[in-house]
Amino acid sequence: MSERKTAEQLYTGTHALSDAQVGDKLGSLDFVISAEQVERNAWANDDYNPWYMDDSPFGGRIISPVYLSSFDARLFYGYYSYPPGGSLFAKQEFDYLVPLRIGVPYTMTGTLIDIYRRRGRTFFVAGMSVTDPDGTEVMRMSKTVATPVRPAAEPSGTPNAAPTPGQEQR
Amino acid sequence: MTADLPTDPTAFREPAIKASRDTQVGQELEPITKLVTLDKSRIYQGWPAARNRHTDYAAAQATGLREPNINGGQTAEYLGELFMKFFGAGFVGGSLSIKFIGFVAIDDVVTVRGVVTDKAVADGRVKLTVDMWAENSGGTKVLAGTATGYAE
Repeated sequence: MSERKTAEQLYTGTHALSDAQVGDKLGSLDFVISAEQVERNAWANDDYNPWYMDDSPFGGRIISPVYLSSFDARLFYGYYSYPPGGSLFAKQEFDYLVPLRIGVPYTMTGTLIDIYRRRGRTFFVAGMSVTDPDGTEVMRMSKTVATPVRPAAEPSGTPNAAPTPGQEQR
Repeated sequence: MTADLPTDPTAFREPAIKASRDTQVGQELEPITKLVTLDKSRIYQGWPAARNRHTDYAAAQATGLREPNINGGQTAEYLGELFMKFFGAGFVGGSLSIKFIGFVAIDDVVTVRGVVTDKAVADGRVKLTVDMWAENSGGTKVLAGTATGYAE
């Protein structure tokens, strides 16, 4: 039986988020998306777009436009340690320059580009760039991570209603 | 309001409404509706290797939840599906921005909608901007986003 891991155990980062600075280099992640991964994603989401499953006008099967949203989480928490209070996705942005294809080796690099505080949470914005084997940039992304899950109390008079950023990192 | 679930959720259906040079501001996109089950969440997450509050009752209850909920990245895929169905090949050069604003429970029915909010011509190409959002079966927005792309 495969080993079961919690979300925290899947991450290997060692840098404390409390020490994060704009400009931190988050390193790089090399990856290849397999047909099996794309099919599993289609199955999970009931999105059997033939461009993912069979062929596309872009020279092979491509990857759904949101698929990399968990890859940049891996980069983020491959650098920063997962915070004790947990964290939430708050925002995700993608710029599509060239379609990503199954079986092609890509590299994602990331930099912390902003930190701000609002309503008892701290928000960390990481900018990511994905390049193909020729060094051509194929996608730009940004991910905003908010922590803690339960907002900290703020000084009297400051509304502390959660801005309800959504969901835990996978 | 929840749109009808498809009779065959595993079938790919070409949308009746796609981005074109004739698309007008105010055009509503054809909504997509999904039933989000724990099994679907587990497939997405890679259970049983991945045990977290989206796949496992004990992990969810350890965070104060009664039961697992759905990861935002998974719900975001539904916006991605609508984005691709509307823009087709015109997604290249476009963008998608998604804010996560609410939780999705297991067995919830999520509907993704969109409306064209801007149309511009750039370098001879028609660029469209679309407000997109996902709402749960109670009509509460759980994701909100903006997409851009080109009419082919």
